[in-house]
Amino acid sequence: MQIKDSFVINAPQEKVWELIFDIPRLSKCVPGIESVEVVDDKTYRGKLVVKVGPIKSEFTGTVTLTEITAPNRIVGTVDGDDKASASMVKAGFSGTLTPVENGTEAAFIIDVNLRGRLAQFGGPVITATAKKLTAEFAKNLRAQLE
Amino acid sequence: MIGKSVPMLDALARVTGEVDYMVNLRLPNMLVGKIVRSQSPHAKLLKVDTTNALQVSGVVAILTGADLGANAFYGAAIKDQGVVAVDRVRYVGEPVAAIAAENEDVAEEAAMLLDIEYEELPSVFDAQEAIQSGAPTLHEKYPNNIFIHSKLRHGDMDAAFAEADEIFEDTFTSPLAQQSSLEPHVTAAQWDGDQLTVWAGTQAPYMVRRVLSENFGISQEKIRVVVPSLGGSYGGKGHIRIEPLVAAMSRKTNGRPVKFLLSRAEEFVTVTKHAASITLKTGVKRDGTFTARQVTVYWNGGAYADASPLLVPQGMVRAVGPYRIPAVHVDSYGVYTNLPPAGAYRGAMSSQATWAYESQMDIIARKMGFDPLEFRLKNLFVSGDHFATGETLHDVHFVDCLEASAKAMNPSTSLRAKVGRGYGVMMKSTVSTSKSQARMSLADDGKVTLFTSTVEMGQGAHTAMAQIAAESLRIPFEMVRVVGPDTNVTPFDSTTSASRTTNMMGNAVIAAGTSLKRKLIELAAPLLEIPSEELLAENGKVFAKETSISYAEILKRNNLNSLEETGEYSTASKMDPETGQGKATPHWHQGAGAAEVEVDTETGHVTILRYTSAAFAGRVVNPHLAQLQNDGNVIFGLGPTLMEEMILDGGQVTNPNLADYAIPSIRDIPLELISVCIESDEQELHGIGEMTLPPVAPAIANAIEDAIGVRIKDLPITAEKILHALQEKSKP
Repeated sequence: MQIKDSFVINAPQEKVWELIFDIPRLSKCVPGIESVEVVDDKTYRGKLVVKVGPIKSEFTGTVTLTEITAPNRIVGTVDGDDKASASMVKAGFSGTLTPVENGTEAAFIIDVNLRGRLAQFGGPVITATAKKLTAEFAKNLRAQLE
Repeated sequence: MIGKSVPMLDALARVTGEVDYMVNLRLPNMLVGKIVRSQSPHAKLLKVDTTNALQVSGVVAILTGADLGANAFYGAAIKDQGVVAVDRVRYVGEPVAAIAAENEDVAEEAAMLLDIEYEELPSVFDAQEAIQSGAPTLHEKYPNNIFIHSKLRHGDMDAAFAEADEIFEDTFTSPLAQQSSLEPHVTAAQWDGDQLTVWAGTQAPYMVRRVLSENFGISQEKIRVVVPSLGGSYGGKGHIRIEPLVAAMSRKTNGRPVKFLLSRAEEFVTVTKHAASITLKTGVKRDGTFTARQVTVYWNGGAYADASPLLVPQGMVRAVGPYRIPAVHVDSYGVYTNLPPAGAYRGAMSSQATWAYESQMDIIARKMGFDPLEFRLKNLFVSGDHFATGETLHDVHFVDCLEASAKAMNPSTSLRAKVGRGYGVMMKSTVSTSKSQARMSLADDGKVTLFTSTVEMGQGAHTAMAQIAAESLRIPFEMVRVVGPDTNVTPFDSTTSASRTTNMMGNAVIAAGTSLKRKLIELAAPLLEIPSEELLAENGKVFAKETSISYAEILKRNNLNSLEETGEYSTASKMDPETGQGKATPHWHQGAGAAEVEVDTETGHVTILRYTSAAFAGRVVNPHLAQLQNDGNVIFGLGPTLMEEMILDGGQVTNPNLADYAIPSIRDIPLELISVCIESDEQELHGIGEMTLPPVAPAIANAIEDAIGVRIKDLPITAEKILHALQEKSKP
């Protein structure tokens, strides 16, 4: 399943880029983040709580960055699982920042491979949840930057 | 008694909710079983650590691949499936471990604490991709993933195609779908020393017994398989499935019984309808006769062969169609992919095959300017014709079936805009080699018990068998009760499937009843002092012109408490494995249907205004139940035609519930639904389990083309596909 979304933040590209690598500040923006641990400058371990329909999942996993091109683009993978909902996620993602007229456009593509109970809700539900979380993330970023 | 619409034996219990289905089974001291399933479509199983899970209070035992030893693998035909996964998983949802616990909560908690590690392998989901070089291999013994290739070779294809005026080549697809019996798979098992009892939701108790005996290395007599009333099955319970897992789990619980009841989501990864891609290349002459047909079928078998090696050869003969075609070649491939295993699905393989050949009939008719109904009637087999296997066809009634369906549709009436009519005919083999036995026991109160391993799953088979028993022994229907299946009590039967029961078990019951009747006459002769040749049996009595004696009295006067006889009926058919020549089936199932539909071109929505169907029954046992079966088939068939499709993402089913995977509801039923049964002078008992189902999809697709001029070749025919096709059509 592919999730694609983008939003515009009224801030210069460098500021947005800085925030992405400022883990404590970024954590505040990602909805549901419970903890983040920096393993090295390309590897992060964390815990994320997400609610899909009636199921609340607590994913523990690792984010690995495979490409960092400041201040434009990051590429990486996510690997996590949630024992309680017997679900696991593997994803590849790429994100780009592009200067636009009124700030910076952040765009991302995630190829999600979700398996287990959470995946049984089907693409439409997962995509809708992703949209909702993206909107919240954008709102939080704006609060930090605008 | 045969030919009367008596109500089902347990009709009252059914409508008052008192039938003891498998789901209701409660045994003393029973444990709850839970299956822990693979989250990877293809991976090496590096670790299944049960240490923490076993600490949970209330967990009695956990079964993993390490417990299985030499007999870890099973299968209806190829022993390729681990009872639980051993070393490797091949689809999302494959059992990796099983837990026996005091209750569901405990089992759930233990499942979370199982530590499973995978090393992912490349996976493949499409059958035609799986056979390409470079595709990942699922089972080393079948490097190109083809586990069976069935061939039919009849006639000189090059010469026959050269004679054709037009050659048509079309591909039709059916997606992965669900049997969707409302009762899921349920099985319980209990060991007592080396004796095993299994309460199984299965259509084939004796097959389950045989496979378990092979798996556990114990003789068949030590295994007892009991089958309560099933809440539907539709082929999904037709072959060995979760029974080895349940039996292996219960072997670790010190004699306590364990019951497994699958959730709906688990049903979706336990068995499916084969996804299929069928290409038909057909040569036709301008006079409307056929010269040749080349059929290529790829059946997506999923990760394990399951019943496919038995079904793919049937899928070969079922893919030809009921028309006179001098030269026919078929290649039918069973292919492994990283999907849940596929198995029988009501009208097995015929549903996919009829979709292809009956859709192409209309494509040909339209292109060549023939009336689709006349084109069919002109070419349909009649008695004495030869099928592509070389066998001569007897008691053939395709024309009767199609004409009956068409007549009920009244095709001469004109139609308003966006309304169309379509037809479909189907020809299906039954199980080629099988056996049924029945035992009838008369008690000294005149009552009769019929012992049969025919499975009652709502289709009314026990009622039909009781009617046949009553008729053959000349007793009132009310005097018969039916017992079974229980392999310790009821005699052998191959399976309750492929519409074979009324024919096979019916004839076994007739044999038992007839010999019991003969015995009674012989016992009555000395009592009445009349030679047995002059005696007749009727209404529970043996009588001559002026005197009679009841069956009960015959037993009493002979100092007998009961009198028993067993009847048997068996068939054997064989085809050459290289050419498919020989005999495919003891008899052919024949059915037809006609649809009248209206298409909303704004929304793409299809309304079935009328649907009429016909099934060849030979002789109808119970007209009311036969009608329900035929109508039920049509309603069932609307699902795969219009809405049903399992959606997968990287091998994960994403709609494994009956909200996202819709099956037909009362609102989808045609406004007018008519079915008829065709009888013949031979008065042979034929099964009618599936005959009116396979024509539903092509009849509707043909009606849609008739209505709005678009042709859909990929099931299901959703509103989106119709709108898309309309858009394509309106492009300049």
